[in-house]
Amino acid sequence: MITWFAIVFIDNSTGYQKMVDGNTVGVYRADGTVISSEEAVEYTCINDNAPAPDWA
Amino acid sequence: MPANTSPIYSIVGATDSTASNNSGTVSGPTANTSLTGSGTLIKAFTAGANGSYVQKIRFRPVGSPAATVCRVFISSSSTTSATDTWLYDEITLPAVTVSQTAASSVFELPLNIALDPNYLLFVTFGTSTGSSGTGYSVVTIAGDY
Repeated sequence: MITWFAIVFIDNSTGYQKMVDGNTVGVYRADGTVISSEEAVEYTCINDNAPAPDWA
Repeated sequence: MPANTSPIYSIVGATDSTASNNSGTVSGPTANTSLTGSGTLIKAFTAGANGSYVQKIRFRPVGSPAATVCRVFISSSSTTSATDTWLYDEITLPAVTVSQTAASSVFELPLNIALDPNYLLFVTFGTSTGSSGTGYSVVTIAGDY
């Protein structure tokens, strides 16, 4: 099952963490830009049952 | 000549937790993907004035956390700069679904290391485990020399 976490990055910008059966399959900026697993980012989940973004 | 030819033992228990260092909050909702120790690290343990023997770190799920990886850093300073904070180990934490009829799985990372006096252990999570209150109770089992 696909679910979406709404997240807030440390610079207060927003994004999404895409989940499939409890496993993270991608972290995205609000505009849908994917964040590489090599990139150092810091963020906090604010809603673990958020609606899917429009670009999804 | 070696300075010490006799084994030494800890003199008192020194259990600590991320909750005790972070106002009781459950660890995991905040992710930090850095491998260098930059950004916000969650303090899990502070070695005593004579050093400490750290046996293990125990991860007890709280709620139904999503799968993630927990990284453990050793630091010689609470300022945690790149030169004094080192990635030491990682543990995979799978997704867990809370049950009211069965115990959740507990995950342990054996360390069995002697920490220098006043050194610190920090943890980070590679992805968020969920919203506030969903994550892990992280407890360090150790003894001070």
